[in-house]
Amino acid sequence: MDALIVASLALPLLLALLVAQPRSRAVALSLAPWAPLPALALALAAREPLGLDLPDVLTGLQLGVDDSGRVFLLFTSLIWLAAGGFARGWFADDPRRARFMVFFLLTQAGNLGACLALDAAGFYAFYALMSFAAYGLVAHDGDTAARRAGRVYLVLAVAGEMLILSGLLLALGLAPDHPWAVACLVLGFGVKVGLPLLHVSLPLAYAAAPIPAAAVLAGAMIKAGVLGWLRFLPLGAAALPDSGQLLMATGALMIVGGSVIGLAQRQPGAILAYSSVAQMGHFALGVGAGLTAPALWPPIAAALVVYAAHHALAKAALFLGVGVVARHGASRAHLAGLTLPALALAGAPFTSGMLAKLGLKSALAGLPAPWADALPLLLVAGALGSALLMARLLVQARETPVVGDAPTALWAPWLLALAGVAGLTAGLAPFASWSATLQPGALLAALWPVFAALALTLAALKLRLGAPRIPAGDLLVPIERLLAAIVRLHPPRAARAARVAGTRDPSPAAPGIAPARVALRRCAVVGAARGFRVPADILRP
Amino acid sequence: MIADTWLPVAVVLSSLVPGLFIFFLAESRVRLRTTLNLAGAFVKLALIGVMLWGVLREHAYVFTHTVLPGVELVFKADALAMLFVTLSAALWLFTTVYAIGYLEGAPNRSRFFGFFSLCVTATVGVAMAGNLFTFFVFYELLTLATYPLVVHRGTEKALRAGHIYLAYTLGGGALLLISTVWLYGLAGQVDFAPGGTLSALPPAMAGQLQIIFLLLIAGVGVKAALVPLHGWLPLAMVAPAPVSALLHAVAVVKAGAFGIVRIVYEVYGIEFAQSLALLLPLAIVASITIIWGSLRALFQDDLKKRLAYSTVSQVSYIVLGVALFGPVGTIGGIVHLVHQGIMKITLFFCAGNYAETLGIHKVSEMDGVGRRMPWTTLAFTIGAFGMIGVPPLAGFISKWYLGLGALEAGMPWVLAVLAVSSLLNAAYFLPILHRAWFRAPPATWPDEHIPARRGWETVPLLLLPPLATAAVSLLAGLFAASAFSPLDWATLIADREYLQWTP
Amino acid sequence: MTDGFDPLPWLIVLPLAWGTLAFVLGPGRGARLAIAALAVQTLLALQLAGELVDGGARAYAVGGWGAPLGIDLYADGLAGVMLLLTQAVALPLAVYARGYFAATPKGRDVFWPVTGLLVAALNALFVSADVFNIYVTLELLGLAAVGLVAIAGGTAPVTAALRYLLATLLGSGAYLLGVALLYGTYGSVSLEVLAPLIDGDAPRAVVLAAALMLAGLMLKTALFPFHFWLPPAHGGAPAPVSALLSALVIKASFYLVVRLWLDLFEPLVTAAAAQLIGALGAAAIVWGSLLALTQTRLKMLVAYSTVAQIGYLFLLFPLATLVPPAAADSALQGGVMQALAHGLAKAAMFAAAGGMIVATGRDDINRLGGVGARLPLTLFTFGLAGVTLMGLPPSGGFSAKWLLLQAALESGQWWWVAVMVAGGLLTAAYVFKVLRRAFLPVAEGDSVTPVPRVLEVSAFALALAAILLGLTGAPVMDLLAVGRGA
Repeated sequence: MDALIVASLALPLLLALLVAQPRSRAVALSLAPWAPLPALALALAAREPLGLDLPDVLTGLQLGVDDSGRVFLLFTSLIWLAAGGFARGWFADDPRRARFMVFFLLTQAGNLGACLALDAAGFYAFYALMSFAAYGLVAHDGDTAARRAGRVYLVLAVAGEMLILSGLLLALGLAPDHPWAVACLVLGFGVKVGLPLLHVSLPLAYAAAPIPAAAVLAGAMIKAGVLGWLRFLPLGAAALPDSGQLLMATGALMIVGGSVIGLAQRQPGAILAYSSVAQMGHFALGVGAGLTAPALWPPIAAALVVYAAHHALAKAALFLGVGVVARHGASRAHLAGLTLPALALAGAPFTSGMLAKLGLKSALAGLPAPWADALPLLLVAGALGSALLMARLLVQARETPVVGDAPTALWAPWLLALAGVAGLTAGLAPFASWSATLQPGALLAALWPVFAALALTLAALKLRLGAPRIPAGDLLVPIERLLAAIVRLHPPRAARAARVAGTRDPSPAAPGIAPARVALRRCAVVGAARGFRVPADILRP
Repeated sequence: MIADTWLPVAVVLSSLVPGLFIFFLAESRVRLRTTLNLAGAFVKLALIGVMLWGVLREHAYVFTHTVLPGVELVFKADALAMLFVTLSAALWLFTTVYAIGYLEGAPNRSRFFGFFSLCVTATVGVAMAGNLFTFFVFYELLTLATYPLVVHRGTEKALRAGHIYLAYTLGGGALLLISTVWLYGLAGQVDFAPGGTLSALPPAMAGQLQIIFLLLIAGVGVKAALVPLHGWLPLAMVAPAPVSALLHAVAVVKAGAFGIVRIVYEVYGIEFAQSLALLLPLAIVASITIIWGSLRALFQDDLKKRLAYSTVSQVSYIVLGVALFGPVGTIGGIVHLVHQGIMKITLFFCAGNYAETLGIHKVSEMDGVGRRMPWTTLAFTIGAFGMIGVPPLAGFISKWYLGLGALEAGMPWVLAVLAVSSLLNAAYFLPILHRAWFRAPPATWPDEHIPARRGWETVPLLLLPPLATAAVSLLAGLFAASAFSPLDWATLIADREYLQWTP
Repeated sequence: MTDGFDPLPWLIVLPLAWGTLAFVLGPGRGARLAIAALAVQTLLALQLAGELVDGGARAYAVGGWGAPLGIDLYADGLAGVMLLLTQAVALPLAVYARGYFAATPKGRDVFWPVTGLLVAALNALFVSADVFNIYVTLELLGLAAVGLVAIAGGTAPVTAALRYLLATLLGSGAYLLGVALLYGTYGSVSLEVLAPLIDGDAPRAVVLAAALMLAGLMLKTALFPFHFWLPPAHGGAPAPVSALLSALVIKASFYLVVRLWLDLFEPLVTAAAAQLIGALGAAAIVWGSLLALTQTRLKMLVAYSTVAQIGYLFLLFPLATLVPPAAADSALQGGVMQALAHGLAKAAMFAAAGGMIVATGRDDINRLGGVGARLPLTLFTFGLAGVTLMGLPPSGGFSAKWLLLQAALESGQWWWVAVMVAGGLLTAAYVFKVLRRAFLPVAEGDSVTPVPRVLEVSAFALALAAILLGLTGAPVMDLLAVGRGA
């Protein structure tokens, strides 16, 4: 088993190295999709918790598979396997596929490592590898949208890394339940999870990233943030009602807000991103509940792990499906393939979604006063929102003309992801309390949002009601504008000079970090007044 | 044993003697010069290896020579000295190899390598100094040996930089001299000893000792580039790349930081310094330097200048660690002494490679350079991520211990400093990486004069040193917890510095 | 002592002898003879130093007559140190001069005989045991020095020499007046006899005598504001001469000031007088350095540097007067160390400057480009000498500064600390002004011709000695302690 643990991490890293080398590139590229196999084998084979201590590495690395880690490892490796295969088909003619695969494999190693690492420094190390390497996935296309997405992603990712590091240090150095530690960790991992305001990179990144990258971003990596919460927040150990309730309220906001803004999106990637925000609201809700009422935590934890698996697989399958449809059109089979995970997300009966939602609902049942009443309402709203978003996605997908048959390299991985979604339902069946599931009330409760969404969608189509449009990234847009306005009020000296001379600098903007850079430009203006020499390059919009 | 006395001297001489020979060597004797250089470097490493073995078994290597009545020149190989001396000697070897490649065919090489060796001699002397007097002697010698290297190119710009360098460092040296003499007047010979020696002085001297501390730190703070004494460092980057590399990684800047380590731990003693309320102001100065250096780095388009400001910021991590009361902070500071060295030398090697191979001096010229020079850019990437503090690179280990040390010392605000600084580091390094890896390369490079040949993107002598140091900075972080890692050695030192400390 | 051979008189006789012979033999063989004799003298001085450390201070009666009738010689640690310095500077300079005059023969016929006289006068001065003999040696020394300044001929050197002559005669005149007053009061000129007689309430004539003698000597040492004669004399003479004058001749009068102040007039001195002398020294440091910075001629820069460095010597007095004994010890050690370090370093610096001037063909700081590339050793020499003058470690100048600073801090006179530090920085400024130029490439139309190797090596030996002095301070201080205090 130890060898398998090492192989899970070493294989993607080794393949990344080999892909980077021109001499071994061809062979390595053909092997690359299989990189997650050891991890998958490990997740399947590890029947009981196991661990591997490497005391020489970092501050004493502990790798291992515990109960929740095993589930995370299972769906993460499965998604990476599917996405890896899909990438091979997707990038068949792309000259830059080698670069993509290097980042893909590095990100993969980070993501799998985060599932396996049991100590703080180790987790942080793999998490950071994942976050930074994923920049290469988000920005791969290199067009304006990809660059903007990459920039926003990177700013938030770096900020998140710093918050996580601070949080981990505070937790280790002071106490795990120190309010500052909790705040830093919640926000730091919240960047991946998509807490409000930190979520703005999600729609941009999911829309701009190539499909296989979007699938792992939305399916697997977003869950690493959840895993961070589960691993490092003092859940079940300390009662922090204030922070907990705040987080629960945030979760509620995400569930409602994500659905509403998502409906106003055009691009499938953005729709799915806001759907993710709404879905991740459930995790905020659950973790917030765990902080509020530690006694309830064990059932909530179990429910959240199931929910994570469900959402991860469904979202990945949806993204792969969106990719297939985008390339080869909305054939009947393709639409059917999209519908299965869509139904699961909407929580339709006999899907993993229904089981996950029911589990969460029953786990949260014991919450104190305002939440006990609000919760069912919230969950229903979430289900309805998801159903509406899925309906919108399907309606949009339906309009894509059919172009030839999807090659095996694309549909086989998709099928794998779909099998994962279906398999999860089957796999969960023994654990779910079917008696609760099969009660008519429960069935009805699961079914009516789907039908309501269907009805509303049909009505909207009939009446030709256009959804209002909100740009992807919602609040990011006014923020960017505000910063730009500030800059326009105080243009740096170089820019002023350029404007007077009527020239524009020929080279495009420095990459990096639009909002941060704009803020910096503000500093630079002040600085310039005091005699700083500011190179024009870094400040250009 | 004779060896116990003369080994420290031999370590100092192993670069001095070849240096003096080289100084008088004719320009054309390339092979002899190279042999001397490398022989010196290897002999030094071998001698250090022997001493490391001994120091680990608590063997004492001390050389004493009376210079004036009551004033002795002392070389001592203690754990802290060995840390710095090993770093210097190892990086000297890399830099020598690099410099041989870098200066191939350039004029005045004998002079260059002569002073280069003197510079390392002075650094080793600083490292092995057993008392404050000896430290001062080599600290000033370092100033003198470095000046010719800074002005080596002989351009107006270089001369101006040299002038400013001297103004700063000689001024700092003067402060250091005054405070050293003052301290000798109060306490007699000030030996470096774990836990410090000054706590034995009568309490009535506390006020004087505080003033002396201020002077001492201001004196060595010039080389350590503490804000506002850092002005010389960004200018000094006009020097040839190997000099910048050595200057920023081991020699000058490090000598200053090492001086602060010695003063706080082995002259005052960390516990005594804490009782005199000296550590908090030091931490604040270090924090300001960290942030200020990073902020200035953001606005530099010149690659080496950006790196120079980054050094300003990074070296103060060491000072910050020193100012954090408690063994963990100590470990963080001391280990960063090594980590910053190997990472920064990598970055400067790479900057030199870009300049030598393609004529790239500016960040804005670096578009797509990753495709033309992937290995150099890989090394640069490792160095940059290390500086940001991304695991599993060496910089992460430093930051980790510094953060924990800050909490142990009851200064949680330091975490914010670290976080902001990391953000800024990311803000000035990541755009470079984006350019290098993701932008399309231009049709022609600014001044390409080393063509890619037989799979080598540049001259092997230029390429191998940065790859080696990048690998070391990866290994130092990845296997930080293993025996004989810098972290392990820093832990050993920290154990010996705290006499009464209980957690 | 057991073998009956005493090096003391030979240190005076030998140079007189080779000086005379050089006059007869001519410059060629005279030079070789001088070098050989100086080597012997160096050994003698070393032997004497060894004997002093072992056996303590001692007197030597010329012809066995002894005081008060005959001429007494007396050597203690201070004298031993100065003798060592004299031979150690003169020997390499003689080697240097031989090479120098081979390249620029002007005045070489006169150089060797006069130098012999000069060295003899110096050695005699250091070991004279009575104030009148001291006067005689002082006068001899002054005349020899003036003669050397004038050997190059030409208007400027002769004018400088005349000015120098005026100053030196004025100085020795004042000194002689003091000697007369002392003799009139006490009826003796022997230091040994006079010292116990002078006490706190000595007659006013003695105070006047002290003032006259000290003022006269300060004039001869060129202490600010009496420095006016020094730069043209030292800056105008041929390089070996400048080196001899700056390194040794002014040290002789300084040595006498120390001797009189510490041994003879010790009961008379006041803190105010000491502070005044210190203030003059401080002014010399600042003024000399500033003027050095503004020079365009290399040798004038070095000459003004001497003016500044003399200032350090005189800081000895406030630091050693009416202070705790530990501080006084440090101050004396520091002052003497400064005399030694400056002697070696300034000789090296003038020698190096001479080499650069020979190579570039002109005495112009702004035209030194190329020197760094063509004459690395000479430039290195100049740099090392500069290091000593700046007081940077490891060098004799550093040891001196360290000791003086220690004395200042121990006696609570922190203002001298500021002066010394500022002086060090100013020194750095003018030294690097030269070095910086020398690093530049050769300017258009200029040429740098190689100079004889011997010029470079002998100058380098001097500079190296100045550096090594910093590492071997302890034995020198042991020697200095002979006959003092305990």
